[in-house]
Order: sequence, then structure tokens, then C-alpha cells
Amino acid sequence: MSTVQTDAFTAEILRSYLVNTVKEMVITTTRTAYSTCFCHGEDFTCGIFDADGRMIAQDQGVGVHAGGLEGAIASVIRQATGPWKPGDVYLHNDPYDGGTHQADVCVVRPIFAEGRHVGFATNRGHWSDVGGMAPGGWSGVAQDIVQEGLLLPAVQLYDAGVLREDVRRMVLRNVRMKHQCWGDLQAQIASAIAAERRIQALVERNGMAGYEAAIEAAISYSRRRFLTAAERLPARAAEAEDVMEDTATGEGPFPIRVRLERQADGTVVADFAGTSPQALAPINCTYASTRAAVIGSLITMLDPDLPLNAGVTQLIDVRAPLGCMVNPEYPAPCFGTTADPAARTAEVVLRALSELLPDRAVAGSYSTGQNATGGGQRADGQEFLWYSYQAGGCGAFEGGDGNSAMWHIMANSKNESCEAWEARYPIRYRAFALREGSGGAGKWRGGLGTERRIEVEAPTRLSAISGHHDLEAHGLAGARGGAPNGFELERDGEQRRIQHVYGLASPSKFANLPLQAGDVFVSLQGGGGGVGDPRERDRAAVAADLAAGYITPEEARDVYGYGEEQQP
Amino acid sequence: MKVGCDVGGTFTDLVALGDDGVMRLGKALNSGTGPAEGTLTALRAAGASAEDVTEFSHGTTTVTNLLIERTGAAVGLITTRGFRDILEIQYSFRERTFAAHYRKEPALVPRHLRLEVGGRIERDGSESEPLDRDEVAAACRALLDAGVECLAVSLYNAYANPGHERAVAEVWRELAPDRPVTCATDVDARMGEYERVSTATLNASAVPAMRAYADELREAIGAPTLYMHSAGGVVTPPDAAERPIQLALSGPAAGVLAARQVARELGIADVITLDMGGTSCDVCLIRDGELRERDTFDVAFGVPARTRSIDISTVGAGGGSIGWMDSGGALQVGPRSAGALPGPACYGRGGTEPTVTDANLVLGVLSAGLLGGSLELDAAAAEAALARLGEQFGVDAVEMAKAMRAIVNANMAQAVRQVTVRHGIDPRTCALVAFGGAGGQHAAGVADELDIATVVIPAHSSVLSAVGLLTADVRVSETRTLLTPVEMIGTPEVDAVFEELRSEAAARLAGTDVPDLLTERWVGLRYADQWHELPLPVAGDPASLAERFEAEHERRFGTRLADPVQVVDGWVTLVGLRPDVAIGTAAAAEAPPSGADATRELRLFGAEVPVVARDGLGAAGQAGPLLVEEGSTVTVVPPGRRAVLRAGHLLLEDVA
Repeated sequence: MSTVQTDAFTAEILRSYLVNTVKEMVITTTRTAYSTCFCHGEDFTCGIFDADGRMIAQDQGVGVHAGGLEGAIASVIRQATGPWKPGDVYLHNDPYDGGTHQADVCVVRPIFAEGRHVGFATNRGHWSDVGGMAPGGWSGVAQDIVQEGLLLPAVQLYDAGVLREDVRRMVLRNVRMKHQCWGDLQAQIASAIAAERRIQALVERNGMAGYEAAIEAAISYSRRRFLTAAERLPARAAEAEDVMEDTATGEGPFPIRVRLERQADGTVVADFAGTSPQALAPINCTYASTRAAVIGSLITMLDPDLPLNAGVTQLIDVRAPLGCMVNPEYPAPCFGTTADPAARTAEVVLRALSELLPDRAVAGSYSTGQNATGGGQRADGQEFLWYSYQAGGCGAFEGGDGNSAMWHIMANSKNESCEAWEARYPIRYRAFALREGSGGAGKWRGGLGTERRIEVEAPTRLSAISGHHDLEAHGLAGARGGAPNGFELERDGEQRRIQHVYGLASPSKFANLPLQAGDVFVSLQGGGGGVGDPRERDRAAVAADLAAGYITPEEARDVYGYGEEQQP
Repeated sequence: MKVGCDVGGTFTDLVALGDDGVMRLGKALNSGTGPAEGTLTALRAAGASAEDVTEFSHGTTTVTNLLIERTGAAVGLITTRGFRDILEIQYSFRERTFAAHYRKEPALVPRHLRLEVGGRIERDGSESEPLDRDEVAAACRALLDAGVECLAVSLYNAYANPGHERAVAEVWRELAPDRPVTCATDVDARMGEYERVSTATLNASAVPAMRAYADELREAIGAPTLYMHSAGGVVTPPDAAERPIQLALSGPAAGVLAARQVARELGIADVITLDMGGTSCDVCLIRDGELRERDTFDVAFGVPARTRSIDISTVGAGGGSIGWMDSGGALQVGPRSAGALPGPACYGRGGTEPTVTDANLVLGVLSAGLLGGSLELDAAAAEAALARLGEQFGVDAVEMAKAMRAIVNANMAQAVRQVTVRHGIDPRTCALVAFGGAGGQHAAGVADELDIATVVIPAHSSVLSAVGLLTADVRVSETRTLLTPVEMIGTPEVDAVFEELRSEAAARLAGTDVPDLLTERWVGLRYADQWHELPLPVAGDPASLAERFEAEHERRFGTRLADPVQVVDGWVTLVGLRPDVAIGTAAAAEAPPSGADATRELRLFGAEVPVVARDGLGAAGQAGPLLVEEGSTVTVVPPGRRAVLRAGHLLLEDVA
């Protein structure tokens, strides 16, 4: 049944086969992984690459992983020693060389078919822990990258299918929750093996020529599609700016600036000249994360169904001076990159794009992961570590209200069950709810943020990296912004900002704060900005918002002008 | 006379099995007003009337449609203070990574109809704050004043102790005895507050309509009636009416059941079923003769119904699927379908876009006089539609049609691959059992994509779902979260829980005449730190469970881990066996094939090929290329395959 010659329609079928190969990697990972991050959060991204490291296909995984897989592959190819052998496995997490933060460990495994090295399968996933000064890694007070955990520049874990015991021992000796980490790592490797089997089956059926035709079909398809969509961008530059709010020691704000322009050949250039220099705090955005922010924003605005691969990424030129906040170098801490900096960088790019494409304009979102960890030991000595991240209110867009309790575009994770948390950790959920009045008022209203109230039942060390706790998500065209994010603590019946309880310089960045049993950790995720004048909002929509409690009576009256039309 | 009757989207399919052992087939166009008219019409078409029916088994898409179209009753929700927004927060998960211009699925119950009450159950089932009945009554009254037609009660941690939920329901029944109430733990008793509240509200919204449906059917058909549920069993009318969520995927379940029976008749253990109709194709894996269940499916993206169903995947590939060029210049087929109206271009009802049916007509798979002769197919219109699309790709109508067939076959093959990957199985070790209106036209093509050697087109394949209903066993399950080490299985403590579950399940069968009731005990197991469970029956020595789990884990995922094994859920299924019918060899009164052509130009293979009636294949069978007709269905036999009859079923065997 094998055919050697590959016509255009067959190539098309094989292209879709490659895209689906990555989907099967995802299924394999979730079916075998250990940690909540992997299984419920689906905090991992799979991709396949050709032998030169060009991205062929990537799953619709975590946004911030999108631009970075290519960088990690390039880094591993550059550093790997000796020729590739079947069964080799490399680990990579270097934030300065294609990585996001250390917790996102990339597994890179070559694909062999008919005895030839024909590509790579990779799986970047968020490990429960990679060592460092805070359990789970989210230390808001780190001042250099070594404090943030184990660095894996391109470390060979399997040599021709044989486990390197010394490397295994070294890695597991440097992480907490080594058990979960090893389980997740095995799932990542299993997904890469699954991809190799699929590619081997393709080569067996359609020959090496069929495989190569499929790669070219995949890359040229995405390229054509992107070029078509990018034609909607007017031939002029747009500039935008936002800030990283602060550091744990109270410095800031730090501007992030972008200038965006489509070139005559269809290439889009995003230039971050004028962005603040890097900070010695975990608020820097690694170059891979910056690329992801630009790529993700462009796809969001131009063609959300576009299959991402080298055909697209080759057309996106991200320029950022080395040593600036969106292209940091040693020793700048980077752990926060996947939470705030990448989301904030995407907000800046979306803002510039909203100016270029007014009919697609989208207001600001809460844009933080609100990442926090609580760790400690139970009475029986058993370690525990929970990791909280949560969605908030997204920006409204021209023609629609923003979504409530939904991730910003740089992240996408499934909520874990509150009950399951209670069964697993020494905590008790008091509430998980929408925050009334948190959405920015507008003709199109911003989405509502969320509130989690978690009572800790054992002494717990709390660490966090978040941002925009004093700044709103911006509204557009006369609309209001969304409510800021927040961390608060209820202790002895009194609820205050964590910043004030512990006398901190920053409301959103801290490490190892001692919580007592009975304390209630309150995580407030902000709302999205609105679009357009609130007084132009459809009156029936205002009435429905009021009935639902999405907006307060005062807001309805004072901001939306609701009820005025009934006055004589 | 035993009757199986399947009400689908467009047609009611019916099979009546008389005491003479003869199957009579009937088909009727749905009138859309209720179940009675279509059922009675289909009965007449099979040459029977309501008085002849002694036993009636029924499958229906009523609940499916009501849930998807959100046309159920207005539901109010009472939940625990602090948690009323769980239904709206959902998973906070997007379908696409990079998307901002969309609205997530609105909550089934709007916020002003979701009321909170105090009272708190802890994870161990203890009560830390009592329920205030006055507060509950006030909430019920407020919802009644707001005009809700039914109530869902879903309280935090109720999986560990449903006491508060039952108390709320009691208060409601006192205040509104004629308005239904669903306690979440009655339809889904497992841990996971969002899945429970979602399942409970979906169920509540369907109760009023399902009660009315069951009443209407009872008046039309006096005989004892059973309803097919999503997990491939049948339940009583009251159980169906009060727990309609369990019927949400009843449509495709019956066909899969019949396919399993077909596989048994042929002695085939591992099977992939392919049910290809007008708009979509359902794919299901049967391993070692056993169906795989899943515990949850999504009614809409991010809106789960946690009710057991056969693990069936659906892909938008059917006869009506439309071919088009996407913005990257690639040919796509589906998921958009021309449906019945306007329908494929060849239907002559105003459709102009090329569909898979048009492609099959142009290629000679279908003939202009097929589909029972009730519909003249317009070959020129089909060819013109394909030629128009072909212009965009620089090919003629025939090449375009071939490409569309190749793409739609690849899409179905991909669906099969994903199903098999999920279960860690190689599709080449399975047979493909294809049915549904378009199944025979594409079965061999899909099998070739997957290197599957054996293809089966069952007898009566166009009404196979109705056949499956005839023999479906009664199955009722009750589940509870246990969260206990595997070593606890077999202890008096856990046995007592299983016994409670058994009596809860038995109560749902009260007043019915179910023969040979079997009790199955199941557990969902995992390594203690994992989040996914593997289901295993509790049979034999409980001490062997851990070992069986580890063996299954290794078989599926390739690893064994030196970790403690934990029981997450336990469930009991009561099975009332009903007698089998030999599908392949049962005598049938069926319309003869069109018999119009002895040969046809099959442009798909560029050859004039024989058109053979299924029963005329003879003992040796016949090698492809050829077309086999049975009633109104046609099967493509490509070169390299031989069509043979085995146990009354059509097999396409790989002879290459």
C-alpha cells in the first residue's frame, strides 16, 4: 500500500498527520504524568522538529511555551556532544538560551526512522520543583538566577537509551518532590517516544520522501496563511508601553516599550528598544518568553486557528537589546517570566496591535498568574507543597464583553478541584468566587476577576510572584480599567493586605512568609478593562449585569448612567 | 413482538422481532412533535402495530438535543456559601491557546438564580456547621418567585456526606411538590465540585421534558419499555425521567452494542467501530470483546456531564461534510455539513457546495437511482459543484472528488488513531466494523489508511442501532468516592459501602421485572500521587487487585512504579441480562436492493466494476474492485480486498 510519489493532496494529509502526532503526544503525557500541574493544569507543551531544528508542529499548549521550544532545540543542538543516537534524551531549562524559567524543563529526544536521524520530539513541562530558595520556585525575593534552582543547559539523561544514573541522581538530589518530578519526566519521555513511533510509521508507509514533503507542506502552509492574515496590518508602525510594577525591594516601575511594524515582505518586526534594563529581581522576561508574547499576540489578533511552526516564526523578528528586561542575561533572575513578564509583554504588543486593527481591538487583562506556593510539613513530618495559580478577568473587545475567570493568552490551565485540594493538602477552601464589580465598565464590559479564600491548617511558608497589584488593566476608547490583583490575609477575623501584615515593600512579591494554622490566604485576581463609553452600553445588558451582581448599583448609576433615561 | 426503536436526528429506525424469529425493519421520517408519531409510523412500516408489542426498547436523542441547544427548563441552584460561581468559573480553560475575541459558554443557571446557603460538610463527611432550614426555605421561595421550573442542589464536599443536600431537597418538595429537584450526589456522587454542579444542573434542566416524553410514549405503546443510556445499558422509564443526564449519549451507544454482538458472532476480539452518517462519524474501541467506559463527556467545551458513557469519539465527517479551501490554500472537508437542507448539491434542494456524497456520486460509488429511489440524485449538479472547487486547486471534478474522499478518510483514520493511543493499542491489531448510512462507502478506505486487514459491514447495517436496542442488558450503576489504600478492598468497612451502593442501585429497579440480576463491583485505581485512574473489576482475591492494576498500568503506559496504590472511586453495576439475537443469521424481511445495474463505472478506481447484491456473493466471495449492495446501502470493495460473507456479515478481507 506504500506510495513513494507524493502529490499535493497527499502532502496535505501527511501535514495533518504531523499536527495530530503532536496531539497524541499530549494525550500520552496527561495519561501518564504525576503532578497536578501536568494532569489538571496541562502545564506542558509538545512539539516536533526536523533534523535542523525547524519547528514542524506544536500543540496548542501553554502560550508562553510557544516561542521558546525552537530556542531550546537550537540550544541543545549546539551543545550536544557527538552524533545523535536513537534513545538519547537531553534535558534543558536555560532561561538565557531558549528557556523560560527553570521549572519548565524541556525534554529533547531525537527521532530516528530507517536508521536515520530525521527530527526531534520535545516536551516542555512545568516541574513541581527545581530546587532553589522557595519550594515550587516562586520566590519573589530572588536576586540572582542561581537562587532560583537547578540550571540544565543541555544535560544528557539517556545515552542511546541507557539511563545515566549519575545524572539522574544529581538532578533528583537537587529538587524537592523528586518523586513527582521523576514521574512527570517519564511522561514527557513517553510522549517523545510516541512521536517517534508515529513518524516511523509515516516513513514506512510514505517513504522518506513523503515525510520530507509533509514537512515542507506544513511549513509552507503556515507561512502562506500567516502572510495572508498579516496583509490586514496597515503599513505603518505602532508603539505601545506598559510597566512591570515593582520588585520585592520596592524599586520600579520599569517600562516595557515596543514598536511594531509589518515590512514590505510580510515580516513583522517587534522592536523593544527603550525597554528598561534588566532588574535583579524575578520580573525579567526571557528572550524565548518575549518571542512567545509577540508570536501569541500576533496569532490572537490575526488568525487564532493558525498552526504554529517555523513557517510563521521565521516571519516574526523580535529585537530586544541584550541585558534589557525582555532579553535578560546572567545573573538576572527569571523565575517570574512565565507569570507576569510574559503576560505583560503580550499586553504591550496587543496594545500596539489594537491601534493597528481597531475592529479587533482588545482591552487589557489582569495578566498575571498570581503564582503562589505554600509549603511545609504536616504534623506527621510528611512534606506538602501546593501551587496556586488562577485565572481572572479578560479584556473586552470590540463587539463583546471580556470573559470572566479566564486565562490571559500567555497561559491556559484547567482549574483544579477545590475538594481535591482539600483531600490532598492541609488546607480548607472558604470560597472560590467571582469578584463583583471588578470588570472595567464600558460599552463592552471587562471580564470579572476571581477570589480564592484558602484557610491553611498547618504552618505554611508562602511565596509568590505576581504584579499589577496597584495598577489596573487598561480600558480602551473611553472605558474604565479592570480592578487590580491582590494578596490579602485574614487573621483573627481581620483581613489586610499581606504587604501590610508583614511590612513588605511590595504587595505582590515575597518568599517564605510564615502563615499560621487558621490564617486565610486570599488571592484576588483582577478584572479586565472595558471597551467604549459605559453610557453607550446596551441598557438591557446593564440591567442583566445588575441583576447578576456583576456590577454594583452605584456603578450602574454613576458610571453607566443607568436609570437616567427614566427621569423626566 | 420485541421492538427496538431508535429516534435519531432525522429518522426513526425500528426493528421488530416476532415469535417467528423474523426481523422486520421500519424507518420513518421524524415529525418533530414527540416520540409517538414517528414510532407508530415506523411500526407500521415494519408491518406491526402498538398492540403487537410485548417489549419495547428505546433510544432517543431528545436529551442530547435539549442539552446542546440549551432548550431545557429554567433551573435554580442552591449551593454552599462561597461557591455559587463555581458553575460560571468552569475550568477557566480555553479551547484555543491564542484567542481573545470569543465568549466562553455561559453558565446554564444565571447568577441571580444561583443562591448560597450556610452549612458545611468537611472532607471526612463530618458536619462543621449545621444547615439552617429557614434559610434554605427562604432561598427556595426566592427561586420559586423568580419562576424556576426545577431545582438543582449541589453542596460543597457533599460527596463525603449527602445529608445536607437531601435536607435541602426535602424543604423544596414541601414547598413545590410538583417541581422536580435534582441532588447532585444522586446523579454524580464523586469528588469534584464543578463536575457535580455541572452534571446536576444539566440533569435538572432535562427532567420536565423527559417526564413528558416518557408519558407520551407510555400512552402510545402500552408494553413494558426500557430506555437506552449512554453506557450501553437500558433503564426503566421513571429512572430515565428523573436521571435524564444518563441518556445524553444514548444515540451512538446502541450501534456500538450491536457491533460488539457482530464481533462476537464472528469471533473477533478487538474491534474499532465506525458509525458514519450524514453529519458525523462515531468511533469506538472494543477490546477483548469489552466496551470501554469513560466517566465524563463535555456537553459543550468546558461543560462536563459526569455520567458514565461508552467511550465514543465523534469527528465531523459524514456524507454531508462540505469540501472547502482554507486560508492557507489547503483542502478541508467538514466539519461543516450541508445536513438534510440544503443538503448535498446532488439532492437538488438548493445546495451548491460539494459534499462527500457528491464526491461519491461523481466517482460512481453511488448511482443516480439509489437511496431507495425516494430521492433522484442530480449527478450534473454534483459534478458542477466539484468542478467549481476543483478550479481553485487546478484539478477536474473527478480528481477533486478523489481528494475529498482521501481527506475525509484521513480525518476518520485520525480519529481512530487518537482513540487507540488513548488506550495504548495498535489499530492494526483490530478489525474495523463499519455501519451507518455512509459506513460501507468509506470503510475500506479508512482501513487502508490504518493498515487494518479486516473490515466488517454487519447485516442490517443501516438500522444497526435499533438492532442493538433489542438485546441491550439492563445496567444501573452507583458510584462513590472512597480514597483509600487498595489494601482496604475486601475489608468489612469497604464491603459495607459496596453493599449500600448495591441497594441504592437495586432501588432504581424496584417494580420492574428484571431477570438474572448480576452484581459487578468496580474500582478506579491509581498510584497515590497520580490524578488519573484505571478502572478494574473487583473479582477474585482482593489481594490480587494491586498486581492487576500494576500489570494494566505497565501494559498501557509502559511503566510500573514502586508506589502505593490508591482506590479513588468504587462503583456497583447491576446487570440484568437479556437474551441475544443472532444478528447475522436472523431471518429478515427487508426491501430488496435496487438491482438496477449489473455493472457500474467506478471512476474512483477508473474501472467498470460489478455491482453485486450482498446475498449473491456466494461461498467463495468476490475480489475487488466491486460494489456490494444491501437494501439501500452500498459498500466499496477496492482492489486488494475480497468481499466474503461470514456468519451473515459482509467482510472485506485484505488479500494484498
